[in-house]
Amino acid sequence: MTKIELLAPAGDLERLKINLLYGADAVYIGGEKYSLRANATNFTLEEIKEGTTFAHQRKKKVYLTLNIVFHNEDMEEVDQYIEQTVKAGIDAFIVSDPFIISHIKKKYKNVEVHLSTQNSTTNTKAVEFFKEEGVDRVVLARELSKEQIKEIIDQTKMDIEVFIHGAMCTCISGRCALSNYVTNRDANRGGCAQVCRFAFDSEDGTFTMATKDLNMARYIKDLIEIGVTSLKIEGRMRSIYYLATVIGSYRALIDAYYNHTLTTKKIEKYEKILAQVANRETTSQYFLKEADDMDQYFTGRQELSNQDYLGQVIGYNKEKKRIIIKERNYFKVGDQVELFTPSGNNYSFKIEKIYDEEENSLEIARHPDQVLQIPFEKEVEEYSMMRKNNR
Amino acid sequence: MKLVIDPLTIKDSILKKADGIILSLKDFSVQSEKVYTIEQIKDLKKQYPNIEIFVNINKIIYNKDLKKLEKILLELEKINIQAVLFYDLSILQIKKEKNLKIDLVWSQTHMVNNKNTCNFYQKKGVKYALISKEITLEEIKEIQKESNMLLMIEVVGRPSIAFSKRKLLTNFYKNIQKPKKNKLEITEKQTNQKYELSETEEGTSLIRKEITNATQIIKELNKEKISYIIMREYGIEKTIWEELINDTKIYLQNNCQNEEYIEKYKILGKNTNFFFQKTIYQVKKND
Repeated sequence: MTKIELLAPAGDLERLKINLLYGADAVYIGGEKYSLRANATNFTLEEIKEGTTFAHQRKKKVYLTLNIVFHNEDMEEVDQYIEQTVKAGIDAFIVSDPFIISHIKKKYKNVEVHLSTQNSTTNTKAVEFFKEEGVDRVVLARELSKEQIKEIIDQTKMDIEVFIHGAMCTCISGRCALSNYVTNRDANRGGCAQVCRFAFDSEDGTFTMATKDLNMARYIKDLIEIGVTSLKIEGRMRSIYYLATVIGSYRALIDAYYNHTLTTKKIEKYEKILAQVANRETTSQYFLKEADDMDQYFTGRQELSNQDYLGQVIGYNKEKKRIIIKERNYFKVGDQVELFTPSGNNYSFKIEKIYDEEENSLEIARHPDQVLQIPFEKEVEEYSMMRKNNR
Repeated sequence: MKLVIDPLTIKDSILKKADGIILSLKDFSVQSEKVYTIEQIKDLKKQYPNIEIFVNINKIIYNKDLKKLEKILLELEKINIQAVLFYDLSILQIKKEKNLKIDLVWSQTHMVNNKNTCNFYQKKGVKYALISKEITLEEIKEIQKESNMLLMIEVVGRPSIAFSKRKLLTNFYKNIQKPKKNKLEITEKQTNQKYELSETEEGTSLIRKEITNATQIIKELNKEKISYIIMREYGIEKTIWEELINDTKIYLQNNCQNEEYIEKYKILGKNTNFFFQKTIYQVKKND
């Protein structure tokens, strides 16, 4: 039985590494051109090469988004860019434009093409069209139910990828130019200004259409059993703490399914962890029913900032048995905290001491990016993270 | 260059002036004010045998729709319409599988933006492309020069901005506990732009209230040998609409020489949409 793929978003090299260390099987990244997140940090060719090397050493994959809706001028250098990125070790391109699909498939035999969700593919015949064009995988529209996804898989035998976590568009992907009209920023070329999260005036009061986020932790079993190939997390611009938490949680849930240890209690545990890093409420959107009033907001922007993330482990002082961390948010001596590691271990403890780099003992850590040491008996891996223990 | 219209009412006087008409198919189209059954399309074809009929099928297609869609395409093939405007690729796939003798218009609202992809679809048997409303005149000219498609350019009408599967008005009125309306005008606070939302069983459409008036570029489109221009009635006063179609037909017949036409139709407003305004997408440099 082929294990389902966990696919994570990486806005930069650090995020790519965090994702893969925390259990993603593959990451998708944007290059400096042709990606729908034109304003994310995005990868240079050198960084792509470093990222693919890091991934391939761990038998993992890197996919590159080329999913803008192309204009004439975008076509001018795309051929050269594809060639360079293939050489840099990209395993698959995520594409929406059929001309680009056919170009890649004709020229490169060893690289996959995944049809972007930007095409909003919703039926068997459309999947068959792209299958005949050589597409290796289809990322389905986010508006499909469990039964609709299953039917497409059963009838086409195509590799199907679905989104399982993160922000949702209000409108159908590719069928929205709100950003173009309101802000002059081209939504379909990576400039989306998220106008669907604005509040509008109307004769019946303030009108909003912003959606809640997607969270499918509860339905991982269903998605595996209906034959989905890849589970995709949204959010190339999310923080490393968010990614570590989300990827680590889904990794644990997927592994638990295959190990026959997936219980309701375990799902609830990870739902609680996921809720701690969420900046909006979450639902399963269209998976079980049509999205309705419970799946959206009516009061404008609803993002919450999250201060549970306390610091990132950057080393271990073996001599003094202390973790070395880079501080992110305020904490103090006496706080109950939790360390979670890329290999999936969790350690709860109380902070007894805090030292700065000059060995001064501190009562409070209040300077983000300050390097601190905290006594902890066990050596933990680099990229482990410390968070408040709210559970 | 031919004139295609998307009218709100079928009127003899208007249809005689137009070369073509867009008819949105009932139960298979969205973002359309007026829809027609297959029977009505058949009747119109009988009544107006010389007008080119373009049937618009642009709803989201689910598996449950596929059988009916196939039946419809077979029926449309028999009617001898000019072409089907398609959004979903299932239509192109069905045409291929069934070897249908029906012409298609690549009409994916915001995605019809470049020459290479036009040529890709042309090789797949698609004859026409309805160009996106979000690209510039210069880009259109380049597509015309370097693609083999017959291009259709919307020059007058309220542009469709977005489509959501969500029932945004049902949700909104449920939340404020007021009786539901199927249409609502909303205003974006910073720009004061007005949009109209309308909801059907398929979802919610957003269109801009302000009319795009690109009558001033018709002459240039004609010079570039663009095949079709499109004018949509929704949002235009009935008497102005009738005059507009009449005058546009004369303007085209006279090879766009009458400058008074441009002056007269300034009445439709100054919004030329993106014909002269390029969108941006990178708002900060990588560093």
